Amino acid sequence: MAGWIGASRWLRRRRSGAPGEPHEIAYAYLVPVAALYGLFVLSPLYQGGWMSLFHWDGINPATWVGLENYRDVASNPQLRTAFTHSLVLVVFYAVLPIALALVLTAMLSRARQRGVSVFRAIFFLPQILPVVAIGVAWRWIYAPDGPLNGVLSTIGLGGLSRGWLGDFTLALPAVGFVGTWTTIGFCLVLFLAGVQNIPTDLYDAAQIDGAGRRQEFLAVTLPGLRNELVVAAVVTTIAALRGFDLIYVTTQGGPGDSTVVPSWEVYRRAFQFGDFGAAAAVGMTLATIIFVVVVVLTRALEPREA
Amino acid sequence: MTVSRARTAELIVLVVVAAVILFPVIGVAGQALSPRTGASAFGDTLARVWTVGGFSSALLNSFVVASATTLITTGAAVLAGYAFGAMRFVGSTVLFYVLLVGLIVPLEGYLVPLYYQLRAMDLLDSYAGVVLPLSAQLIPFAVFWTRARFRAMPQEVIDAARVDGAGTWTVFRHVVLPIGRPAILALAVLMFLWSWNDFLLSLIVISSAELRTAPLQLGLFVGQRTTDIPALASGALIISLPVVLVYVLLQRQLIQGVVSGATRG
Repeated sequence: MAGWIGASRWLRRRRSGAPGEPHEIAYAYLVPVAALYGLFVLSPLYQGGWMSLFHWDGINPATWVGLENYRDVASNPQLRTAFTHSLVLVVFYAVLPIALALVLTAMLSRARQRGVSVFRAIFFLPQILPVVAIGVAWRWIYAPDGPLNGVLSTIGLGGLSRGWLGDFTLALPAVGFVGTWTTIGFCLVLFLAGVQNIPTDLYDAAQIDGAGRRQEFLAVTLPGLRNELVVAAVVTTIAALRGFDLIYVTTQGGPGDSTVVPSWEVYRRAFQFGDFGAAAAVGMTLATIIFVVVVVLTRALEPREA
Repeated sequence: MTVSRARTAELIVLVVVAAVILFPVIGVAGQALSPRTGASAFGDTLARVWTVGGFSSALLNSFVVASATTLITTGAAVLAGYAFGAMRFVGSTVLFYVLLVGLIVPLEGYLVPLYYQLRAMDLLDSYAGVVLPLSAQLIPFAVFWTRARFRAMPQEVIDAARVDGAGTWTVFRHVVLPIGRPAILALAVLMFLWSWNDFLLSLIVISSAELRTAPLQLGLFVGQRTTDIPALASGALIISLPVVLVYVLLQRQLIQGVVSGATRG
């Protein structure tokens, strides 16, 4: 998921040219990357743009429809629902975990705890687990006879228990919460590492000025975590806007259409309904949205030039 | 509040967060291992799923796919990272921007045309049909990684070798590779974990049962055994164990690399 890390600062400020002498030979070193990337990323992206302008079932000759597939994305209620669900998932994957991780960072002072590396390893764990396996774990938790309902009936709220993933209103938040669980540890690891890099004299100065913990957090910690915030926001938002694997193993878009997301629509339209032009249009729309969101996020959180 | 009481409070916060994150993981492992009825023994379900679910060949397939993807991605990215990080050439900024697109746009965006591309190249339902696009998808991240690390290398060392008359390949082999080794190994581990976890690409590319990767096998297994939680949990445990093992052994270097790559670079 964290395919974006590392580029944040680069995107925000272009460095002047690469170090070293001019070398024509550099192009030779780029050949393997150019071949793979050109063939399996750039070329499909280009073809996707082209394909999205046609009506095509994958078998019969394609017919030109211009922007009709895109008009469909904008007006088709089912597709609009899918994109609205993405927005809800952004809250669960990005907004909630970042806010919670910031609160936790504020609670954990900068003093190094013993055994902190063990905690760090645990917090990061969801990043390396197969999403399909994570989905299975939460199927168990949300099952009608699963632990969540078990806890509810133990504390006397048994009336609230249900099959969470089969509930029309609560399936989406339930899936979203899995996202929160997946990304919060990543945010926390990032922020805790970032806090360690904030110069101690800033905190000393704040104390001399008589700042309380809250003021200290707002004046020193939060600005000091700017880079980490950009990375966390971008990585978690991209994860929220993708989300195919989790939907596939938990709800398959259901019940009804209550958990359909754009990536699920791409898959379903192409490989279940055979409407390849429409699927390509949904994919291009999703790609464009992610691209714009990432650029806006990086620009918005850019440090003001002094 | 005394210092030690503050520390205890912090420890409690850490433990609570860790417990929340570990609960689904340990719980699902428990579901996989615990005997269900009086008749069945410890680990019974796991053994049954192993034989019935076809996970042994799926693990092998995943191992082949992930290893090949790791080799290709890391190799290509080390070469390109050297060019971007240590050389100056016309178009380097533009080319880097082009790679940036692949870092942001996910597979879902070009899934359909990719499928047709693979079909035209006769790569559907083959290892190569998963490995090559997967490598291409991971390459932008890998190049960012190697470029940043190579750029951070002391330029004097490279210059010194050049003064001695070494060409770019000699510098690469005898200076850049040895110094960059830890970063390259950490990258390889990350690439292995991510390619092991691929699901969507395998789902559209692989159709024969013998070629299914581990996550794909589990994904389809979920479709067959929707409510048989112990069986599903066993499958989840089986496909996760390899990545968890790699992670437990190498997590320190891995997290360090990801976190420092996130803020510098």
